[in-house]
Parts: sequence; C-alpha cells; structure tokens
Amino acid sequence: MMRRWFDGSALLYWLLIGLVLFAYMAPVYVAITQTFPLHDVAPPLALNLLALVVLLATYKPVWRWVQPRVHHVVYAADEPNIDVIGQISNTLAGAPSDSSMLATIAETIAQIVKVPYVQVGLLDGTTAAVGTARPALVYTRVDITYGAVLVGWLEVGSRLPGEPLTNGEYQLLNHLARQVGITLHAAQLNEALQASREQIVTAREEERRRIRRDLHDGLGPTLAGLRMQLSALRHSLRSDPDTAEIVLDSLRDDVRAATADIRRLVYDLRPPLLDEHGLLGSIRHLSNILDGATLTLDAPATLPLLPAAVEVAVYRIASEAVQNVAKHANASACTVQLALDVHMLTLRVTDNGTGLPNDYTAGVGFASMRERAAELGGQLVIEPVPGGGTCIMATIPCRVRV
Amino acid sequence: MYMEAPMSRLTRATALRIAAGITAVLSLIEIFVYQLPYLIRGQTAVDLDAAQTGGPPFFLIPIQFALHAIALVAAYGAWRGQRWGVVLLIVLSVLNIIPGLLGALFAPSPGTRIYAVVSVILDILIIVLCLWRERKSAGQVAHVS
Repeated sequence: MMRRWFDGSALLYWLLIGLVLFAYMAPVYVAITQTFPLHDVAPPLALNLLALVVLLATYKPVWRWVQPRVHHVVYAADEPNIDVIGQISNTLAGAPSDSSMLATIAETIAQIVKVPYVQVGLLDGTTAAVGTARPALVYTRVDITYGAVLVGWLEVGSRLPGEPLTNGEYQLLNHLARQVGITLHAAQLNEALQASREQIVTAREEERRRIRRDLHDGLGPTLAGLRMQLSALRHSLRSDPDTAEIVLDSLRDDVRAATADIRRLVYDLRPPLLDEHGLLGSIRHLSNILDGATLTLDAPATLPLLPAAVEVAVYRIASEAVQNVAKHANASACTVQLALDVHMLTLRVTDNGTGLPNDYTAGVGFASMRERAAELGGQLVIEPVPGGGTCIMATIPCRVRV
Repeated sequence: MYMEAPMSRLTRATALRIAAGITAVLSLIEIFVYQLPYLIRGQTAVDLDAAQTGGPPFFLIPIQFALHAIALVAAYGAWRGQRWGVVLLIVLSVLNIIPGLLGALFAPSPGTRIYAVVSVILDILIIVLCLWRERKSAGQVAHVS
C-alpha cells in the first residue's frame, strides 16, 4: 500500500502535542517565576532555573499522560455508527468470495479502526494479516460468529505499545466482527452449495452410467438372445416340436432373468415397497431379513408426506442397518425408532447383540449409510449400546409440516 | 500480560460535555460582559481607556470576539462528540491561555487578575477534559506477545 506524501493526521497530532505541552509549560513557568514578589517583571536567573528544573522533572509524566490521549483524539475510530457499519458492509459486499476476501476484510478493518495490525483467521487455519505484528503492541482478539456458530477470529494490535483499545473501539470491533461473520458464513455456505451441486451432478452422471451399463450389459444381451431364440423357435416350431419345446423353456428362463434384471434396476432407482407400503410399512417388511430376531418399530402412527429423497435415504439406511444386525450382531431383538420434528428426522436402529468389536473398522456398508445421510445434509453416528449391542443413529434435515 | 483496570466513573462523552459547557459559559461571559461593551463604545474610547488604565487595545477586541464565537461552535461540536469540535476546543483553549496569562500578569485591577487566573485554570481543565479517556474494559485485552 502506498504511503501518502502528506499525512494530515500526523501534522494535527504534533500540532496538538505542541499546543497542549505549551498549555502546560506556560502557566507553570508563569506561576513559578511570577508568584514570588521578589522582582518586578523580569524574573531572576534563579527562578528561571527553578522553573526549568520543575518543567524537566515533570516532563516525563506529563508526556506520558498527554501523548496517548492526543493520539487517541487524532487517530481513534469513532464510536460505532451507521457510516462505519455501512462502510464495512459496502466493502464486504464487493469482496470476492475466495481466499483474498480475508485480506480485504483485514485491510478494511485496519482502515476503519485505524490500527497498525489486523489478522483475520478461519477455523480451518486460513489467515490473512495486514501490517506487522510487533511484540510491544497489545493485542485484542474478538470471535467472529454467525448466530451461535463460531466462524473465525479477529486479532487487532494496538496503535501504541502498552495502550489497549478503548471500550468504544472494542464495541466497534465487535460490530465489525458480526458483519464479517455474516459475510464469511455466507461465503462458506456458497462454497458448500457449490460443492453440493458438483456432488449432485457427479452422482447423477454416475447413476446414469450405472443404468446404461446395466441396460447395455444385462438387459440388452438378454433381449438380443431372446430375439435369436425366437427366430430359432420360428424355424423349428413345425419341423422339430421337441427342439421348439426346449427353446421355449430356455426362452421362459431368459424372460424370467430379464424380468428380474428390470426389477433390480427399478428397485435401485426407488424401492417399490415404498410406493406400495409407504416408509413405515417398508421398514416393517425388513423383519423378513432378520433370522430369528424380532423387529420392533417405534414410530408415529402416520408420517407426513416426506420428500422422496429423504424416504429413500431413510429406508436404505434402515435396510442396511437391519441387514448388518442379521449378518453380524447375533441379536435377539432389533428396534427401529423414527422420530420427526419440524426440521429433523431421526432414525435410530438399535440391537441387543454382541456389539462392535474393539478392532472394528468401518466397511462399505457403513460408508454407504454415511454418504446417504451426508448427501441430504445429515449425519450418521455409530455407537455401542450400554449393556451390549449397537446403535446406528442417522439425523437428516427435513422440512415437513408435522 | 493480562491487563485489567477498573472502569472510570467519568465517561469520555460526559467529560466532553462538561468541557463544552465550561467553554460555552466562559465564551458567553467574555462576549457579553467584555467584548460587546468594548465594541459598542468604539475604538477611540477604548484606546483612550487603554492608554489611561492599561486596558486591552481595541484591535484585540474583534479578534477575541471572533475566537469566542468560534469557541461556541467548537463547544457544540465537542458536545456532540465530534472530533473537529474537540480539536478546535483544544486549540482555542491554548490560544485563550496566552491572553489569560498576560491578564494575570498585567491586568490593571486585582479582580481582573483573579478572573484571568481562573480563566487560565478553566482552560487547562477544558484541555484535560478534551483529552479524557475512559479506562479499558476488563478482559478485552488478550495478550502482549
């Protein structure tokens, strides 16, 4: 940043310093030299020397008192007001939403609060600083928050060594930190949204590729084979009925396989059970998976209309969890709990089995459940149940009218 | 280093208002008790009076009148907490100290001398109030690295 060739504030600072020191020295000098009625107008040398000694003796404390106060008058930021808040808002509104935003924020705050050093940091360790941190400065740290969410922090160095910021400046800093918090939070949301969009597009493309592969490698050859078998059947129908019968049997098996392929394809897109029985009915059907164990469903009697993505995710997670219970838990009971409030759907699958082994590492199934929850902005937690067993809890954001 | 200081009872805003109030009262007294009567009497009478009793020469009267009028404006600015008002008040108070000291030394009557001394003391008080700083709030300082 270029330095201005003329610094009006510095000129005013030294002018005020000079005037205030004069306002101290002149009355002291006059008081000492003119109070004693030992002379006419011109004071004797002894009184002049006495005045000089007194002024020199009191110079340092007076300077210490005057200098930071004049500095404060000239350089201190104003109390929080609409202009200052508007200034930071305008700057932040025009700031680019990348890493250089932090530098812009630091520079703007340094200009507004008029401090020599400002550092802004995010929770991920990204920082940006303006000015040079000197050991003698007093550093004030303010949390940058958005609501109750901690977004980052702000550290400001004092203008003079040993002179921390005033209450007003501290308040101003807090006001600015709130504005910065809104901006940084918005930027982070923007980045998360962008990442989410990319994830959605990627997932959609992968899904298309999978369907294309299934159709091309599975159903396509099956249908081609059926066509060839039909041709063979046409040739042999009258001339060789025995062969035709064999071909018909083969045809029937192939059609059954093709139907199974289509069913699997359809099931992968959306479990048909969900359309036939709804989410609660589909979860009840999972009891078929459990071999000997009982499945208890603890859920509201009826559920409101859930978004299709949420329904599928909850069903798939529950299905995977119950399958794990059947395969690994050696449990006699499994409980599926479903709770719903205005903003969140909570699925809890608990069993009374052997629990997670000590050397447990998450496999494909758990990763898949986590991904399904994360895709919808939710979380999945796996934890042991006191007394034995495992609990898988998925929370998924869900706006419904309860 | 963790620094903590008790809150000062006198806030900066109050200090500035006190300074502005003192300035306004002093300026109004100067304008209505001294400058306006001198201006009304005219240059001849004032200069004649100055030659006989040692009063101020007439050319100083309009200057002092202007300074005190500006001091009223500065007092308004300081009352509102404006930086320009504070700076102007400090400058004018220092400028007022000079004639105050001269008055304390050379004024013809003891009453005028006492008034000059009091005005110097009040001008110094105004400067101190204009430079008043609130104590720092407890806990706001993180560390000195």
